[in-house]
Amino acid sequence: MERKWIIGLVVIAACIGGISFITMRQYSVYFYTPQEAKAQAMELSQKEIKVGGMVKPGTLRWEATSLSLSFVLTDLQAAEIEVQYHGSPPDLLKESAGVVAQGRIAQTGALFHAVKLMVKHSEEYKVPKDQHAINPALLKQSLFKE
Amino acid sequence: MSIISTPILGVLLLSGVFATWGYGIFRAPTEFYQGEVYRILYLHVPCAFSAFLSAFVLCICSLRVLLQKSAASMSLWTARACAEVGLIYTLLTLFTGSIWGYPTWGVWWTWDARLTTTLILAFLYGCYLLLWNTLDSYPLRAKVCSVFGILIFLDVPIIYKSVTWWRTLHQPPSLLSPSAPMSSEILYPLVASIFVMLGFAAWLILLRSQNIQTHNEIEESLCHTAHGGTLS
Repeated sequence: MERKWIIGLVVIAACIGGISFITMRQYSVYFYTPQEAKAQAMELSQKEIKVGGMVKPGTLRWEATSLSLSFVLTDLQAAEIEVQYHGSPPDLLKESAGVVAQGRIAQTGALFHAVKLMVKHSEEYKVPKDQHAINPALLKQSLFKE
Repeated sequence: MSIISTPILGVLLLSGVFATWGYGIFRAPTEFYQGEVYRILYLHVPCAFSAFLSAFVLCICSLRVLLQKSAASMSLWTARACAEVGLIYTLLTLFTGSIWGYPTWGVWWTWDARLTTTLILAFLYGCYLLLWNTLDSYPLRAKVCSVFGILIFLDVPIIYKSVTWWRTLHQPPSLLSPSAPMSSEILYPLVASIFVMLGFAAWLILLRSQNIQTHNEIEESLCHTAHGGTLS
């Protein structure tokens, strides 16, 4: 009786572990980097995806009357994607902020129509006397884990 | 009854917890990027650490139960107490995280690795309690729950490392990070709030395990009387 229980539990645990491992491999990419998204734009344009990066300083345009928002999403290297969004953005969406945008990428890879914007911040918590602006290097590390 | 399990220590620790919240809300400086909303840090992070502590103690107690053979023991009661306290702290972590997430990230919830693995921890604690209440007989309950109790702890390193292994919306750990991402005015009260909350969690576990033990002794003595002393 007890052996049955233990064997049963091991089988259940193994199944859960196996299934999670297989699905995790498929879904472990929470968001694409701008570079990845651009490279696979043709294929990714078929579905809703998430792309993470930073708001390129000086590119944030917000029109309050039409609720239209646009900015350039960058990985601070070569890849840049123009993001367009309709609606009110999260409060902390600022120049240089980290962003994870959910939506569809155009086949060319140059344009991204976002339906949801999420702000990603790094692990720094600083008082104003220590620091006034986001540390881009740390944010980049926090975003891409590289 | 020792000094540890008296309400005095609990009241002291709880006042400590409130004191760290008070400091966090009224005295800690404003953060440059998030502004005032970051103050929930002093509640969210200690809760998460307490949920981890519960899983760790649960694992140790489960191992002891499996090694020692005698089915009904203090280790077993402590294990169950850990599951209860751990569940509460995990839910608190999820709720406070959600409340923090909306004004900062813009969403209450997202299926990233950190949030999902933490939700799994809550489910695991729930399953432990479900298993415990379903299995009646001592040797079986002790074995099955202890094996499961050890498995629960395996989720803790996954939760902790999730933000460095995978791309997530949740940021990597600020504590023990070599790049010192926290100003000391924010860091020191946070460390204090974590230690005080861990102390309170430990006290809760201790009190609850003694409570379960007493409950069990009464149940056994009632059973003993009812069956004319033949069952024990």
